Amino acid sequence: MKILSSDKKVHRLALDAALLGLTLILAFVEVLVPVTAWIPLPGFKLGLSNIGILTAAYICSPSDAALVSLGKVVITALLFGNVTSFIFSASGAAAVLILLFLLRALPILERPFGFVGISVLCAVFHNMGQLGSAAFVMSTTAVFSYVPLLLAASCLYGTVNGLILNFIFQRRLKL
Amino acid sequence: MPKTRITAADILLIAGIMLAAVLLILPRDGSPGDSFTVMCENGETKYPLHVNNRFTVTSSGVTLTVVSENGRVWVESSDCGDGICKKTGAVSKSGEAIICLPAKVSVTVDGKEASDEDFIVG
Repeated sequence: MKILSSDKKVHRLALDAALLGLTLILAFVEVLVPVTAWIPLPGFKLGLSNIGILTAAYICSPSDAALVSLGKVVITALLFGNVTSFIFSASGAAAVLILLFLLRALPILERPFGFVGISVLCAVFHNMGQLGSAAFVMSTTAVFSYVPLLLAASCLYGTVNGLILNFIFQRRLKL
Repeated sequence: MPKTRITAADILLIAGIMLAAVLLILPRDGSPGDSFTVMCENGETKYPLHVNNRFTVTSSGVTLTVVSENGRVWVESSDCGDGICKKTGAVSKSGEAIICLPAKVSVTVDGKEASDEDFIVG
């Protein structure tokens, strides 16, 4: 079910740019809430920008989501990051995109779920992707002791994101 | 396009993930370790746990002070900025680890058997 009725490239580019702006605003808002109080992991944030990514994926397509994701990762890395944080956010974003393309390729997998389930899955993939690159950077598998905590956090934050997305997509969108 | 309401599959998924999380926590109560390994950018060094020790590790521009006493090891001080390595506290059982991401340092308690089992699933 395509929401975007126009296939005009300019229209789509403008929409992607708007979605990127939205995603960046969400990325800035994420940083305001301190999460290290109960998740003792560096660089762990709320994941609100995933709302923008998923909106792009389902209003347009995973390719648009990839574009928005790339823009977000690069811009936030340039503005606030260092090389390590760039590697981590890039690997998390890449894992999410793999999931989105997979779901698009096999629609049967996606059918039973609502946005809550998809969001939780995105959060899980994002965190495991980040953990994977942390293990690689530090050449140790000791980081995997964080898996249970990250799984629990993914469920919580994924649910919050998913509820917001449910609300967004319940409106009849005409683009 | 996913459904815009909470579906049964969503609930099942979350339940499944939480179950996996709980299952992964349980078998981690390992036996007290014999030694611990400090891995940093310069390589890795093993230290015995029963010897009281205090030394500094400098890696990626960050200096940490590691202390081991009475079979437990912890990071006493570090200039890494987030201090998560200090907040992790003391570890003593095989498999437990303290990690300082900015310094790229890990302090892992080794198991009594072959120490290539970093993660054991029941």
